[in-house]
Amino acid sequence: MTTQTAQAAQAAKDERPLLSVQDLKIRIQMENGVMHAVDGVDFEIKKGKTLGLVGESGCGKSLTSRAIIGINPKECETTGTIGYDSADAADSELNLLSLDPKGKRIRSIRGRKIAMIFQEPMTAFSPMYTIGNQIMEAIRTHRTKNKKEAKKIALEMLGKVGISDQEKRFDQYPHEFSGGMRQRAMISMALSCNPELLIADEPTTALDVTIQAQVLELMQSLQREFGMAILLVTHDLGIIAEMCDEVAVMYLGKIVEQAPVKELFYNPKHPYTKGLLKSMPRLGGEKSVRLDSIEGSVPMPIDMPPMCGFYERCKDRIEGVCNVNAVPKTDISDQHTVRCFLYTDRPEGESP
Amino acid sequence: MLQYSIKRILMAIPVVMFISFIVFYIIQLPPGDYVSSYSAQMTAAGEVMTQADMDQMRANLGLDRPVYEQYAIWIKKIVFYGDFGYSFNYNKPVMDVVKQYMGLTLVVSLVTMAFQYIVAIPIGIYTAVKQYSAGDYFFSGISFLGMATPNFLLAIILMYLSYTWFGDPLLGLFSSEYVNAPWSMAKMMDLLKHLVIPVIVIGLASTADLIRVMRGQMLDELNKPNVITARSKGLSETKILFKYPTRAALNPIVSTFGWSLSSIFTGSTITAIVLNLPIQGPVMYKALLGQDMYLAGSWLLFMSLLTVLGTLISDILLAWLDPKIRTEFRGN
Repeated sequence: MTTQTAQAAQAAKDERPLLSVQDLKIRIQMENGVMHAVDGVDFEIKKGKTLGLVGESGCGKSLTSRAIIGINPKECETTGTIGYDSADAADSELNLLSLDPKGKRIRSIRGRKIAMIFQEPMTAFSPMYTIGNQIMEAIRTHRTKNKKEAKKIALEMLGKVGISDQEKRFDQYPHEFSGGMRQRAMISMALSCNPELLIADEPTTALDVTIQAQVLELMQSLQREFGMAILLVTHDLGIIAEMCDEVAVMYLGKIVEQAPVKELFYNPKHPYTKGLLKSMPRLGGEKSVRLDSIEGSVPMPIDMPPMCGFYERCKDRIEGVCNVNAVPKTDISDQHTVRCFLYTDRPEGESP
Repeated sequence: MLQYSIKRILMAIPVVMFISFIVFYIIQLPPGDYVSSYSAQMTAAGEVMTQADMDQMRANLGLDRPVYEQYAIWIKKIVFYGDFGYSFNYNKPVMDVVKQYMGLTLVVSLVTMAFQYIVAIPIGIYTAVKQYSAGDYFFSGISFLGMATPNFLLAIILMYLSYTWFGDPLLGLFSSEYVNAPWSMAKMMDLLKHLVIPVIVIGLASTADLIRVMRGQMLDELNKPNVITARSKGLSETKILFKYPTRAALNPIVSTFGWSLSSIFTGSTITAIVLNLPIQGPVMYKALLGQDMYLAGSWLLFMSLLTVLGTLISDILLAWLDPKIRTEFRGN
């Protein structure tokens, strides 16, 4: 065990993270105040590894993932740093957030270095153009201006994601594809420029379960082949367990717990994480026993006083502590952190 | 695609026949006929027409037969001889009257239409992309005004302004020295100069309408996930704007193309009277007043043909633009 941790520490020293997000905050001006949609998020993704970002709808996980390549709507006021360290010397040690979101520099990263796949492949493709046209577009923007060559690459990519009869498929429109096929085509489009980081925003939510498994398997095998890192945004813990090396649990714009995947599943600390794990159905569980659910719903993060966002719903809350102080980050081990007063040395907390 | 077009054209034939009958029937409906309005004119002029004279005239013109028979004769002549009947008012064949006015009517209508699309589409895109900016408010304000202002009022205002600024109210489509002159560069320029006011007056309301439609469509399209996907691929904003939202937003605009042609035709009547334009509106108006039934019927028939044709064109265009519709007929 000790040698393993030592090795891991050594490896961590060797490899600087590919992406390191620090103190990312996204504020949105609403009619009734400022919404802190993402409120001080930190995480790192190492080269070739997979980080899962898990949380309920509206917790800010999609905004966080889109902020990385700067494609959020302009109403989102984003601060913090997003350090990106490409293997290419030209793109090493960049702060993506400092780039003009409409400028050339960030556009040369999008699609080429960091690609993205989306939840709804039907709406993510335009119904007006053929699949081939839309895949070739990325290739022709970043790899080659030559149309024939671009088509060759696109056909090859379609083959890689398991689409047969590529020549015919290439000239078909999105509505002629099935849901699973569309998501495969989406993946082939994202991977067509050989990115270092793939952001997958709920890639399987819109698919049925058998197709889900196929798509996840495909993503894993392509990850092995291309050696890219993946940021997997999902609300499905099952997918996290299958795909990820590390997990960050988000709640109300904050990462409340972050740990390697096994650690998180076997040794969850935050009451929210525990609740999430308990609400998962298990094979062989009693049918008559109701699944646990977390009471209440997520509050709107508008003009929140310094307090734990989970306070209202938490079974283990400490009155007078959790609802009056901002929650600091506590290290459980060197890879496991949690934001909860139950684990701080000073339960009084720190003043914000 | 070709098969679909042929099918649509064949389907249009019974529609046109049905319309032609309705048109003829409606023109017959008001009490009296051309002979009675003619005799009223004669009486006003001091001459008296006897009942026998009137019956004689009716028999000559074929107006004493039942409606369906008149209709059958009219249609038969159109189909076999291309003869649309005789205009009582103008005292010459309907075709001659039509020919006289059709050219300029088409010029005014087509220029107005081009004006509408050329102005409305870019402004619609601009106001959507810069939603809630000063420019958006400016153009939205103008387009609401445009929709609310009656045509004839605007025509009078523009005539007045043109007169005070340029010393010429720009009535009609030609200056007096060019009306009967052969076509030349100078006549062309004169026509273009005279077209400015009618085109603005006739086109403003529907331009304003089109701006609103285009803006709404664009706002819908700009927030679609496929725009975010395009952005995540690293395309430039300009390329994204024209390739994705604009292209998709054009579909509903194209599908209204069919009506806009005929609405320009019918909508321009009052303007044409106010501005003294030698186009079909006033001719039609006079024909209806004087119960000049073959002229009125033929114009109405042309207009309904145009509507049918416009709808056909927009359907075919839409099929060409929208891959989903295209697949549907490939399936058939």
